[in-house]
This record gives sequence, C-alpha cells and structure tokens, in this order.
Amino acid sequence: MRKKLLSAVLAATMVFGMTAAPLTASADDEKTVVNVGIAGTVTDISPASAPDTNEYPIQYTLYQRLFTTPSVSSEELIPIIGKSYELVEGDTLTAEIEIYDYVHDNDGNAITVDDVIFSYETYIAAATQTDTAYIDSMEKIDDYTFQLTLTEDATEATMIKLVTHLNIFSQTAYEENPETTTGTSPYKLTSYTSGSEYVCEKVDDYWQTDELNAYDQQANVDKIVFQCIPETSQMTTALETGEIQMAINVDALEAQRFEEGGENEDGYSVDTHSGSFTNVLLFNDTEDSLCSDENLRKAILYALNKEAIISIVLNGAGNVAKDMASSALIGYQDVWEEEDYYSYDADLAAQYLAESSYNGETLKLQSSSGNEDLLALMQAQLSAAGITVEIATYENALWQTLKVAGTGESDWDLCVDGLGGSRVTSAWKVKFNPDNFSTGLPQTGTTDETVVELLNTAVQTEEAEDLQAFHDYVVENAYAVGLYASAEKCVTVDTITDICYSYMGYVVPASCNYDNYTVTE
Amino acid sequence: MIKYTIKRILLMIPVILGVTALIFILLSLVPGDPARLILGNEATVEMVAAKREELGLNDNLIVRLFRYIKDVFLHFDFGTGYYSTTPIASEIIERLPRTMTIAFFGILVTIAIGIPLGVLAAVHQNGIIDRICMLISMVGVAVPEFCVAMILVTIFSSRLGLLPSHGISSWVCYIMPVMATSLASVAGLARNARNSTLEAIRSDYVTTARSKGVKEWKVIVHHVLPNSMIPVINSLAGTFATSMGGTIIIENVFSIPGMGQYIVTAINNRDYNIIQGSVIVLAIIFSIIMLIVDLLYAQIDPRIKAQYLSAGKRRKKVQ
Amino acid sequence: MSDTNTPKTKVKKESQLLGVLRRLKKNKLAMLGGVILIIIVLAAIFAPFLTPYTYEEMDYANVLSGPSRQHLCGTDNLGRDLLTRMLYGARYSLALGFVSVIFSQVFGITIGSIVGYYGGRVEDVVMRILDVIQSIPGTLFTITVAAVFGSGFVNTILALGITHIPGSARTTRALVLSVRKNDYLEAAEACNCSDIRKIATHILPNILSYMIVSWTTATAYTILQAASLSYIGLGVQPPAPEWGALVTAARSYLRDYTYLMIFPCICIALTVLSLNLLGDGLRDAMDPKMKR
Repeated sequence: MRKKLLSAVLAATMVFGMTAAPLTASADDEKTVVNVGIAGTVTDISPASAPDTNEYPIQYTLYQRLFTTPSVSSEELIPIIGKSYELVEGDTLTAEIEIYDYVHDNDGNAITVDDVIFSYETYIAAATQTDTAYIDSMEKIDDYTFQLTLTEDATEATMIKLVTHLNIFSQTAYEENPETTTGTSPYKLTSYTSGSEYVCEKVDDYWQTDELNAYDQQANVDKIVFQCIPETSQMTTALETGEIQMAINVDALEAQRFEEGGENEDGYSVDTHSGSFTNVLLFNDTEDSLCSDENLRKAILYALNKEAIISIVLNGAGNVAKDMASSALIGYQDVWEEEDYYSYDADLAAQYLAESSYNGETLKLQSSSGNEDLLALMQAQLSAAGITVEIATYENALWQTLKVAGTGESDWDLCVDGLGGSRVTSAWKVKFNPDNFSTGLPQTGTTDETVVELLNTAVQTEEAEDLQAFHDYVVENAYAVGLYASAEKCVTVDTITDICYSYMGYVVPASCNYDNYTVTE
Repeated sequence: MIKYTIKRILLMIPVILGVTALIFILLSLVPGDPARLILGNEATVEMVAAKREELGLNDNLIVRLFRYIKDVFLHFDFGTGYYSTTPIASEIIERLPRTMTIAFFGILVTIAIGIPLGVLAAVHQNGIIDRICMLISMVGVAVPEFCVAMILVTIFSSRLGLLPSHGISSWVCYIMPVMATSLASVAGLARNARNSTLEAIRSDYVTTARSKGVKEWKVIVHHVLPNSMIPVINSLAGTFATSMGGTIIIENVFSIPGMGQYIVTAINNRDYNIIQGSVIVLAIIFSIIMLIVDLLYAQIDPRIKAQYLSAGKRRKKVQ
Repeated sequence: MSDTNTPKTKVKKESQLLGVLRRLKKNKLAMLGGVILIIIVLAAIFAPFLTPYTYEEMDYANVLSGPSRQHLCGTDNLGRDLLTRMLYGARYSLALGFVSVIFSQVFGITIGSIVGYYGGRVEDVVMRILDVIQSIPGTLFTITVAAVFGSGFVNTILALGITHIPGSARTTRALVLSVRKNDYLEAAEACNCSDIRKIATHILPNILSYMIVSWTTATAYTILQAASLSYIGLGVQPPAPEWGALVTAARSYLRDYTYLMIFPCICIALTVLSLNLLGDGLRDAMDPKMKR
C-alpha cells in the first residue's frame, strides 16, 4: 500500500509555513479590496464549465478541489477538501480518498462524499474535462470516504489530474443555481455582471482551520473584484489610473514600462512566470499535404529563427522550446536542453529544400486567433528561405475542429497549436494520442504506428529511456516541434508581493501577500 | 388612430416571424457541427452523435425552425450557448438594457446636436456656418465608430486619465461610448435636418410670411420648423439603426457587457445559438422602435394614416 | 445611412448625364473629392513604385519606430513600414468597397427593375422579403451575414455585397416605378420591344445618374463597414493590410504608438469623405432646385 498522506500533510505544512501571511489582521474595520484585471471576457464561471485561461483565477477563488500540488512539476498531493489519498493495494487504478468531515459550502450545506460524486458526475455529463472519460466507477464507502476507479488505459497521472482539477460543490447548491453555484472556498461571489465584473468577498465562517489550509487557499484580502479587460493597452492604463491593482497576463510590451528601468517602475512590480504551455509547430502528414515530405519539413524547421520570434512577437518574454512539452513538466529530460533542436540554419534549410519535392507551391500555415503576429513573422522567415506560405487564423472554438489533419474540414499544411499538462507524456498525448481525434490518428494525421507505440510505452512506464525514444523519434522525423514557451506577466502595485501561482500556473490573487497593502473600499 | 395602431401592430407579426426564420435559415447554412463544437475535438464519434440527437440536430430544417419559433415566442426560450449553461434569454435580459442605454442616450445626444446643427446650417445656407457645420458632419460620418472610440480612449483615458477606459462600474463609463455612437449619426441627422429645412424655407408659405414682415426667427420657429421636422422624425428610425449598429461594435472597445460584446464573443466562438437569439431580439426591438416612429409620424402627418388604411396599400418605406 | 432617399424630381430626357457633369464641374468641393479619390486610386495602383518596401517586409532592427526619413509613417510591431502597408491597404479597402457595391448593384438592379417593371404578385413577395431584411439594423445584418460566410477577402466581399442588395433593389424599384409612368415608355410600348430591351434601353439609362449617387455613398459606407468587420475579427485576414485591420492591429499600442492608429484612420476618413463629397456634388448637380 502506497501512502501519500504523510508526505502530503508535510508538504502542506511546509509550503504553508513559507508563504502564508497572517490573515489580514488590520485593526480598523475597513475592508481591503483588490481590483484584478483579467485579459479576456469571461461569461461563464459555472463550476464545471469548459477550461478557459481567463476564467481560472475566478474559479480558483470561488471553488475548491480535493487536492492541490506545490507546482506544475510536482505530483505531491496537498489536501484541500480531500484529507487523504491512497492507492488500493495491488491496483494502480483505484484510489481510496477520504475527505474532511467538517467541510461546508458558503450556504451552510455540509459536503459529503455524495456531493463529491455528484460533482464528478456533473463533469462527466458536461464533458468539459477530457480525462473524466477515464473514470470507470466511483464507489461510496462511507459519508467521507470513496473509491475512484479508472479504466484500464489510464495511469496514475490521470488520477492525480482528476483529483486536482475538478471543482467540488454541493448538490443542493448546484441544483439551486448551476450558473453561479456557491462553493466551499474562503470567498463568495456577492455580485457580478457577466462578461464584465465578478465581485468576491471573504466569508466569515470558512470551514478549514488556518493550520490545515493549503498554500493556494489563503484569504489575504477581504474583497476581490475581477474585471474583464480584453484590450491589452486598456489593462495597463487601468493600472495607471488606479482602476485595478493587479493585472493578470499583461502583454510583454505593455509590461515593460512597469519593469525596472521603465518609465513607470515606481509603485509597481512585475512578476514573470514561465507557464507550462508551449506553442508547437505541427505538420500535416496526410497524403493531401506537401508537408508529408520529410525534407520539406526539415527545410521549414531550419528556416525558422525562433530567437527572432521570441524577441519580436513576445518581446523577449519566452524561452526557445527544446521539446514539444515545456521544460517545467514532469519527465522533462535535462539532456534535451543541450541538443540541437532545429536551430536556425539557412544553409541546411536550402539543402533540405533542394532535396524535397517542393516547387514553389503555396503552403497553408494556420493557427487560432491571437497568433496573427507569430504567423506573419513565420511567413516572412519562410519566404526568405524560398518557401511560400499563406496564413490564416481561426476563432478558438472553430480552430478546435479545424486543427485536426485529415478530417476533410481542415486544410492546413502546417499549423501552430498550444499544448500543456503536468507531465511531458500528458502534454504529448494532447497531440499524439489517436483516441483524442475523430480520425483515429494523431493530430498530424500521420499513419506511422511507431510514433503511437512509442508514446504508449512512454506513458505507461514514464522511464527516461522511453521518454527519450519518443522525443528522438518525433525530432528525427520532424513530425512536430516545440517553438517556444511564453512567460506570463503579472503586474501589480508593489504593495502586493509574493504572487501566488496555483499548481496549474495560474495566478491566485487571494493567496498573494497583502501585508503592506492599503487599498480599501 | 386605435384602429390604425392595431393594424400596424398586427402587420408587425409576420415581419418578426420572417426575421426569425431568415436569421435561423441563414445561420443554419454555416458549415460545421455544433455538437462537435460543444464537445471539442477530443470527443468520440459516439459522444458527438449522442449530442446531435440531444440537440435535435438530426431533424430537418423546417422542423427545427418551427420548434425554435415555438420555443422563442411561446416560452421565451432561446436555448443555451454551446459552451455555457446560462440560458441565452436571461443573458439577453441582463445585457440588453446596457446596449439600449448607450443607443438611447446616443440618439438623445444625436438629436440634441444634429437637429440644431442642421437647422443652423440651412438658415445660413452657403455661409461660413453652413460650411463648418457640414464639414464637421461629413468628417463625423467618414470615420468608423470604433476608430472614434479608440481615439477617445487614447485622449481621455490613456493620455489624460479622465475617464475610465472600460466596464460599467459607474455612469461615467457611459460617457465615451455615447459620444462615440452619436458622432456618426449626428452627421446623418444634421444633413437630413438641413435638407428638409432648406426645402421648407423655399416653400410659398414662408415667402408669404416673410413678405408680411414677420421677424426672421419667428418665421423659422413657427413656419419652417413644424414642417421641416416631419421628414426628420421619419428618418429617426434610420438614425436609431445606425446608433444601435454602432453600439454593437463600440461596446467591444470599452469592454461593456452588452449585446454587442455578447454577439462578437459568440462570433469568435462560432456560437451560432447566441448570435441567432441576440440578432432576433435586437431586430424585434428595432421593429418596435420603427413602429413607434411610424405611429408618431402618422400622428403628425395624417396623409400617411390615410394611405395605410386604404385597401391594403403599403406605404413606400424610407430607408 | 439615410441618404439613399428616392429622388423626387422627374427624370429629364437625353444628355442628362452631360448636364450633370457640367454642373458638377462647377462644384468645388465635389471636384476636390474627385481629385482626392483619383489620387488614392492611383496610389493604390502604383503602390509598388511609390515605396521601396513590400507590405510584408520586416525590419527587425526598426520595430515600432516612429515616423522617420527611412520610414515616413513609422513601422509597426513587426517592423513593417506603415506607409507601405497603407498604400497596399488602399487596394484592399477600395476593392472591398467597389467590388461589393458592384456585386450588390448587379443583383439589386436586376431584382429591382424586374420587380418594379412587372409588379404584381412577385413584387409583393419580393417586397415582403425586403421588408423583413430591412427590419434588421444594417450593421447587425452585415455582421450576421459575415459571420455565416466567415473571414477572408472573398467572403467579406460576398457578405458586404449581399447585405446591400435589398437597399439597392428597393432604390431601383422606386426609380423604375417613377420612370415607368413617363410618356416615352408608352411610345416604346407601342414599338413592340421585348421587356428586357425596354428595361435595358429605356428605363435603366434614365435612372443611371441617380444610381451613380447611391453607388458613391454605398461605396463609402461599405469601406466603413469592412473596417468595422476587421475590428470584430471578421473581414480580411492578416497580413492583408486592409485599413480597418491596420487600425485594429494598432489597438494594443494606443498609448505610446498612437501614430499606428492615426494614419490609417486618416486614410479611411479621406477616402470616405471624398466619396461623400463627390456623391453630394452629383446629387446637387442632378437636382438643380436644391442648388438655386
């Protein structure tokens, strides 16, 4: 029997000890309030809604999950609602999970295992988290214990993802109000304007004790007002005019003037966080595309100057990728950093191009909207190497259907798409797990079975050599390469310190340090 | 008048149903599978098939249209968006007032500026005031609303820090959107006002009044304006359309959670259910406003009413 | 836009167009508009000869540099020369305006003149449909149609064209109705011409000058709408430097690089202004009563 309980509690206490600040013990009655700018329009904050980068900070403030982890690259479970987690002996796909017996939501509904199972079932029905498809069964043992069993093709990583990603809410509260269900967190949604503003206020009777409260579940400020500001330039203007005190995911160029040496450095601080997401370049490997020619793929890869892309498109805020997955993820091999990973080389590009069957045809380079500048720059770089591409971006939702090669709807030859996860294998699976796509093939439409076999082995064993084998095979065949991992910038007034990031790499405004913070209502 | 009003209201019903059908059919022409959009690409073929069944997408277009019309007009149910559980109807109820606030105050400002500007220009025809007024109105109509909005943001938010750049946290937030929406419609209205005032000035009764030695301002107020305003009132419906259209775009510049932002977000997500519901509601509201303007117009100009009541003949509509 | 009102005057015979042009020449503002428009059109056509750069060419060393001798209007966030992009952008903006107006006029005139000429049941049905379409605010209808077609140059032309068919059909019908009552048509009636011939040789030439007025204003309006579509993410796709797309791209740089927004705005304004001046001049020239 593998016990994780002890280490989990230990980790929790440690992290808590490091980051926790005294829970706003300001002498006066005035409530501290922080206005947080979100770089997008959020319209749906229901607990089981589809993943949305902009929505996470709000959801994270309002709902809790069973467990959390110290960071993206860790699978140490820290208790939130869940108290302990252990795998059933002799079975890596069944976990027995116990939850605290005194959890209640902010409406006063007690949370029992029935509510947890209900929450998970809600997710399964909504199909908003793909991994819920791996849930085989959930069996209640008593009011505070249940067993979670996964289907055979899952791994323990899937289990950990499930217990850390899914919000828990009471059945009563959800049935009363599925859109803005009351959660169990130290904050409660007191008013909101869909698509514009979400006001969260600290509750008086939060269920968990200070000692056991996880590092990213703190409540260091009395009131948080999330404001949707999709226009990048308005976000920083709002910081300057004092409309907001914290801006999440600020454009790197705009953030510059708040950074050291910038014209506005006084009174502000910029926190840079390398996320777990990478942008990858995929090649259409179906017969319809010229990119099924390996030489052409390599010519394209050598013609791209990734450093220039980072300095111009991201204004320097990013790292050149050395694998499809980000270096922050579990399973990332340090040797990859040293490898040559298609660094810019005009001569090699010309050489491969000469060997390819390419004859001046126009290739199609596509991506989701927001990547216009990236594509324009790639287009220019390829054009300098004698490769003509035509670029197009599509709205995110539509892109989800167009991004798969060989479905008849898509017509790209090469595309840029994002991927993330907590392990390199789960990130790879996003693009190369045939089960994910209606074509029954990886996203690139490749019929090469070796790549899928290598991936499956790597997923099952997680051994260095198997990870290396898949990595090498993909690089060798140039099916897909990582371009860069962009860093996110969070700009705040300088009285907010120790910006807290959740295990998924998103800012958690409530758990930052507000010791010197003075803005009140 | 009552009989006329009822008749006009009844005539509106087929138009509204027509709009609903038109938008529904138009949006059903879009390629792509809503079920797949809802579930995302990782969903299996079976999941998609089940979702299609659940959404009733397997029925033919006419069946779906009638079901939609029934849901909308009998239950005020537009369904939900592809990616959200919030009913579209409740979202619209919350957002519509904001859009209407901007459009309404936009048109008030338009009237308050546009009509005096037009009359002033006409009274001083070909003079320096006329030239300046018309130049202002021509420039106003020559820049897209969103550019005006962006220029306003640059000046009043970024540079001067006077007005909030986004949101609806206080009434101050509405100042720039209203200014931006009204600019384009001021130009149009001022021109109409100028033209109809010019026409009225040239008419016989004005010449007569002048020859009697009536003071010029009295001529304008008593003889010119009452006549020149009739066509202007009629053009207000068009002005409102411009104003409403402008609001839809401008809301996005100011991050105002109104109908425009709702529609544009939906377009970016290909959420045709939301586009459909929103456009239909806005079209119905526009029809109602047109109706009110028409009734007002008929009240002032009895010829119109007579025309309408005479055996089913339709009035020639002014765009 | 409410200036496509039906002209009220009676149509004069022959050489009306020449008379209009003669009067137009005397209108200084209209001539100014015409000259500016011609300059813009020429600039669009000869763009490659006016600038040493191409509109996609990136100068990594000069990213977001303000107006200078090297780059007269500065460069954008990818180091592309803004002046060059505006010159090439004129091609897109003007093409969107002209082509979609021609598209809508071809269909609009056909529908309008057939309906106006024959009348009867068909007219009733068509006019009902037009009523329905016109009870949707113009911008909203354009956005909806554009959303159906999706983005891209051709799709945008289709969307803009289709949305203007109802207006064009309605105007044509009204004009045809006003001409139909004229004497010379009765004369033509007697000569046993075919209907198509009658419409083509007797009706259309008589309403042509009025149509031209509505073309100029419609083109102006369409250019504005195309820009708005770009703003909301429809319209042409990057890197096509359509003017609206240029303004939209500048929105992230409003505070420090305002010139990125101002220059394309001026382009749009000048073009639309000159089209409107020309249109107004034409209207005045055709309607001498207004000019005194």
